[in-house]
Amino acid sequence: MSSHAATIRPGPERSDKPSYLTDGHTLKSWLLTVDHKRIAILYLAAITVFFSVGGLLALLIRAELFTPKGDLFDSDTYNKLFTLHGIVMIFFFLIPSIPATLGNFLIPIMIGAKDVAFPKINLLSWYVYMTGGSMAVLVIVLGGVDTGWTLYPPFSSTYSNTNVALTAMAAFVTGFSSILTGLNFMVTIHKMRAPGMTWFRLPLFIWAHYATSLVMLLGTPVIAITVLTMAIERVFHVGIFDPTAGGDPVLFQHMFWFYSHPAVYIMILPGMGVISEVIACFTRKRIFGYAFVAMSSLGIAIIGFIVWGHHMYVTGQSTYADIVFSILTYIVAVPSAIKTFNWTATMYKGSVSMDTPMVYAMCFMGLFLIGGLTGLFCANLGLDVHIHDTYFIVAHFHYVMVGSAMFAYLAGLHFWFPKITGRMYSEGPAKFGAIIIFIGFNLTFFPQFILGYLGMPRRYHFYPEEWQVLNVLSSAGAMTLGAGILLSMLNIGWAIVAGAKASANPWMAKGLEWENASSPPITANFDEAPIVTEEAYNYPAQLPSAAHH
Amino acid sequence: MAEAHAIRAADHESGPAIEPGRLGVWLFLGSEVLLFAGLIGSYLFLRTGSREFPAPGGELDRLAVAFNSALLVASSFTVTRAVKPGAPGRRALWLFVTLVLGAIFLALQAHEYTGLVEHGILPRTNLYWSCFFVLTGVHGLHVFGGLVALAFTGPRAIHGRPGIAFELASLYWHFVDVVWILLFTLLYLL
Repeated sequence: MSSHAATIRPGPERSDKPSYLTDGHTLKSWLLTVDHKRIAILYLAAITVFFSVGGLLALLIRAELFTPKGDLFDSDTYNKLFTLHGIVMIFFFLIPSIPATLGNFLIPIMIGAKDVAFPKINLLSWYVYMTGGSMAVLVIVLGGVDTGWTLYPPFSSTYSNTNVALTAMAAFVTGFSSILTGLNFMVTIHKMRAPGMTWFRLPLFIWAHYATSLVMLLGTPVIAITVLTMAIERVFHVGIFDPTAGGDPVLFQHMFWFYSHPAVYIMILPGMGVISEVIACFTRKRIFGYAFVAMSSLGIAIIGFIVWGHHMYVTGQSTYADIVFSILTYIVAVPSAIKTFNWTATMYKGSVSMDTPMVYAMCFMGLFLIGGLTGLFCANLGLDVHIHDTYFIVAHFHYVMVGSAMFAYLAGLHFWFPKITGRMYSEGPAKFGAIIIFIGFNLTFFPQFILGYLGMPRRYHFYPEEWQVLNVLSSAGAMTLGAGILLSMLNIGWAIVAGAKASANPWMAKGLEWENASSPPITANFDEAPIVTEEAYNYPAQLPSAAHH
Repeated sequence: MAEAHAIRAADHESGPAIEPGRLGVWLFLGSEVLLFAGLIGSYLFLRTGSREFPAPGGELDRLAVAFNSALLVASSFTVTRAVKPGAPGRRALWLFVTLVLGAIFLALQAHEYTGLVEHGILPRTNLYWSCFFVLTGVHGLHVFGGLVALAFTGPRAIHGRPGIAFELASLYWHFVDVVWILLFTLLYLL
């Protein structure tokens, strides 16, 4: 703890300079902006569209699965639905979700900078994302793609009759947006910190994004070159992955998962950063074991690069490789466990207030626990053979990607909403929405653990009648989940236009974004360049819980 | 990247200051290393893992490509002369020589491709040629990118515009050169 007497500043008086939202009203002032906050809003708008598309596809999938027979779609259409759901959600929602929106908005403010290191490259990365996104939309318009999001050859490179090459190029192009964002964040965090903002005074949100950026920078080029090679193979009949030409489809899986497993950490690490911020604020305490939580982000990023083979236990790779990958997979769970224990320890004897962001954070911790522990089931060499390619896997990764990553995204959106928009949402509907989403989510995915264990394979829309009860539960849960998300989006949407004005620091939280920037921040972020003199989360002891808006 | 300099960077604890642009380019090179590591790793995986990896026959003109490689390596030396402060006329000349060497490299590579195609060799001929065309092709695109970067940043730097863009472009050029030495060894010699 700092030797300074801990106080919480209520934030600056409303500045006479225009906020970033009012500094220019033309379309051009948005589309050619280099302000990291406006770029974050551009991303938020685009990502919300992709999230809605991906969510709608999920609802169609679950609607089909109400009955054991295929009554809504034929098999080809069903294949396209789950493929597009995966591609849209992973490449266009989950990977950019927190970094490109909250990360872009908050990283410069949290470290006391005016902007990211390369503002023009930041804008460029949005246009690259939109180019990739437009290609994905074109894929949908042209009739979709049916390979599954994993794009495995030889089906993708040789046999599928759908728009595989264009899908691969969409993923390829979007990858560059990810690389540029990661590079920009790393240089920003290295070079742009305010005086006094030492590495171990950084908010944990920043540490999480630093680790994420490392994965984006070093993992993405590998998937880029892999899907590019697959597309070249499809168009020019090169034989690198084609067994009839001497190539090896398992090579594609190695290359694909070398990125796509670390990509899971691109999705979850920023969420862990959000959760650290939210828990510190709503328990009025410094995060227990700050340095361990910071370093565990780096640990996850680094160990995450050497566990990819656990996706490939049944490909016939060497048993010795299996054993090593299995051990490493158990090891990568350790830093995640460190975080979970430390968050829990932070809450112990904290002054906990259950505002909406905290409700989401509590949901996150429970759901991440289930998602993480079932990951250990999958790391087990024997058990994984039984549950491989079943609904158990589907349930496991949805607990991580939706139950954890999406809940963290919603926690973050609700937490920083007053900062981003300068307005406050209605607490009642927001909390009610969170509860509905939590119930809907568990109802959707918990039965899938059982279905998977019983042997129901993923990616089929016919199933034996004895599994209908669990499938109906899951589908009903999906509709509930959809309704909860719709309710939350409407609540937030209404607050954007008609919410009550928020003060600079409505949660009475620590951090430069709350204590030194107005809501919404001015274009240059701060009236005076901040100087940092204290540790992160330096909450005064025994402060009554958050002063309410 | 110039705007990065305009924004005041605060760096009191991390030792000798490195410009944001330079750090950015090094990180970008890290990303590029992984890209080529993926390609080269795939080639080695196939080459060591396949029961019968087809060896290239006499179609490879190793001597000509060795000469071409020497040109690319030489261009790494000439570009350092162009980057070094000195009389603008001399620097411009070295830049010109570098660009010509790079362009000759690409022209000879294109010539090699057409020669192979005339011999009936296509990317789908066998696994070796699949790898050959993908690896050298991706590298060739990087050479082209490096040439464009040098051509854009060089004249400005030589005419006295401040900044390190040209130096950073030359860093990228060296990287492309080093990758070629690896590819030449793996695809032509071993």
